[in-house]
Amino acid sequence: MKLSTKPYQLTSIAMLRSNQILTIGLFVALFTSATFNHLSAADSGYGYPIEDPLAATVIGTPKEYQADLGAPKKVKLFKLKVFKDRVTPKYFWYSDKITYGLLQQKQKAPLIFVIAGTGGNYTGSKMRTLSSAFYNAGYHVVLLPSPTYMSFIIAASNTSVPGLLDDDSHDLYNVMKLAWSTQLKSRIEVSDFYVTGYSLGGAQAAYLAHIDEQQKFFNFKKALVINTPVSLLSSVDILDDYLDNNFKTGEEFQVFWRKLWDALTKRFENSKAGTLELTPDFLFDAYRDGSPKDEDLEGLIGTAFRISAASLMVTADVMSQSGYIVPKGASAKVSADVSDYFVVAHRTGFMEYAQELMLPFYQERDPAITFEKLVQRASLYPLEDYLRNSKKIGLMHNEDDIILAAGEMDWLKDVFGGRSKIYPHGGHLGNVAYEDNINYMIEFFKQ
Amino acid sequence: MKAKSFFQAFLILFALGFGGCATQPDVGDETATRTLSDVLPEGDEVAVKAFYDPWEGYNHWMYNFNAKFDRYIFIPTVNAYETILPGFARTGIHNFFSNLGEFSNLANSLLQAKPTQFGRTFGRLAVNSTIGIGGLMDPATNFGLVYQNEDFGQTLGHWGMGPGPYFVLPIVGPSTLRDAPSKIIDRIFHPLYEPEPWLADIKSEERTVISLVNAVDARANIGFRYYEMGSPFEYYWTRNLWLEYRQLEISK
Repeated sequence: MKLSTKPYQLTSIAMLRSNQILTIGLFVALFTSATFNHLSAADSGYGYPIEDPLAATVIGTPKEYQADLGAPKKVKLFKLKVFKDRVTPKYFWYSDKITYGLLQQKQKAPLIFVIAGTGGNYTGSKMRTLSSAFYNAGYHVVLLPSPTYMSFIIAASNTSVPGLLDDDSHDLYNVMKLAWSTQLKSRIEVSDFYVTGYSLGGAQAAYLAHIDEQQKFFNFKKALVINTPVSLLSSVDILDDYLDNNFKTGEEFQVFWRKLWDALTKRFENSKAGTLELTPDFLFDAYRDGSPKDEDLEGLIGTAFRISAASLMVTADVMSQSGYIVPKGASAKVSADVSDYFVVAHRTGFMEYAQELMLPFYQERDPAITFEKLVQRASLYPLEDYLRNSKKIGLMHNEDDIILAAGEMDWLKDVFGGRSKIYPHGGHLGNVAYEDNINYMIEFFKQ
Repeated sequence: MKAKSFFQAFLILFALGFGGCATQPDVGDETATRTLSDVLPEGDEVAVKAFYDPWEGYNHWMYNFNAKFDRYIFIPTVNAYETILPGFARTGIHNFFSNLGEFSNLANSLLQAKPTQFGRTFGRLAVNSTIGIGGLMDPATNFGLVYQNEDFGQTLGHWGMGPGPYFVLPIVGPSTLRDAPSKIIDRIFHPLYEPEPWLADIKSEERTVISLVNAVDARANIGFRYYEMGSPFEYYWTRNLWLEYRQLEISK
């Protein structure tokens, strides 16, 4: 069943030569290159250097502050066909299976599942950081895609319309069981099972722990929830606004895009390096040199999120035949011009997707569902009692995380109580590679 | 090699004949709930359509072909290569090819009248070919002589030629009408290829093997995997970013 292995490496722009293929990994990093903001001195005793939450979110952790995770690890990739009878649309031929990764210890060891954030799979930098850290600490690590990742929607989602946390987590649990029984069990020796996830994957880790209490397949010993949203829709509302408030027209966006590339080109011209490497250090330097502009940072973050959201909604639309952006029954050759759908999707907020695609889709199955109920099911609130009382679940978060709406941090602190570790700053996942944070995660699972 | 150049020229002509007509999706009588007119104020610009891609039909098809080639042939070959050869051997091979490529960097630095760049590349070539044991190692980087790619497409760009239409090459991937034929010029500067190998006496079948290893090595050193972005619109993103990146490369 195992189909391919690949070196676990950053798709670095340094590898990009003129006659070669572009790395998409460049993209999000690219956006970050125009980040200009000033740096305020850390005064809280917590040494992560970036106090501005927007900048922290964009830049991540500069190398000198990162935990030493050693050389990049080689992740084994597995492809998994989840539903035997599901027919994959021709246009999506490459998504007939989901892909997940494994970092395998040589001897019997505990196993930890790591769930990616919105629109992510095993390739993201946060995944790389977390998996390396747990591997170094002696775990087998299984890197799972987010239920919002394109091929997961196509190949592993029951409804193909992601967003409801309990449903999405059941899909994930399904994948985990199937992967374990058909591909992993015969290959590795495992002592105990653990689960963690970041961002939306954090919320799913909480739900997975809950599902596992009933199904008792893995009997997770502990679960760590990292930088989770409380309510998915209140978080996406913030991220939608970042984009909509800063760009009223496509023309404004183009000006922004040009400004970004000009800034990047200028920096590259003046640098000693012969190739462009968009590391946190490169971005951190740009940030320290530049002048502050919150709207640019918001624009970047909003854009990165919008790209994930657009992919999600078009995939869900086609798979569920909702006729929202792509007409029902439409078929396209792989060579077709689908740029109109591109434009519509990238100009549609996640909130609109929730109201105009998700809601009618779920109402057709259950007329009693209202938008309020949908919002509820896309949040941690239904799990409140469990989260309050389950000793195995912990929380790692940041006081200034940009994805939380007013009052949500207080709710988290109240619910998780002594099982929460809240850092004073770091934005959304900016500090996840910082030494203290890595140590905390490892320690949490040891106890 | 003559046959290969001919083949490349043919492909360009083929693309020219093919071009223009990207088909629209077949939608039947249905309309979607949300369409362009809902999101696009009159007279507004659309970034994704600002990139010059008159041959989208061909390009998009070839992009997809390359993805299949990658999945079923290229990547499995790379995996085998990585299983068979230990890391230090692969690094040696990579450095070796990279060192041979410096001749083209050198020539193009000269053609772009960039003395500093020329000096640095010359230094790299000298250091790596000697202390670096014929290019197997790369001590030059440690001496601060960093690698910088220059090719004939960049040279043309440097002197003001625009990229022309976007053009996806078979197997190689994204390129433009300016850059694709430039690759033929770059091979003239390559010691092992056109018109006759000038660095060593190499038979044509040996050249074929070397070309194959070169290709596998090149692929092994690019982290990019097709259709991993997780977007139905990956074609557009790679195209737009590729074109922007080339522009940035030319500026240096």
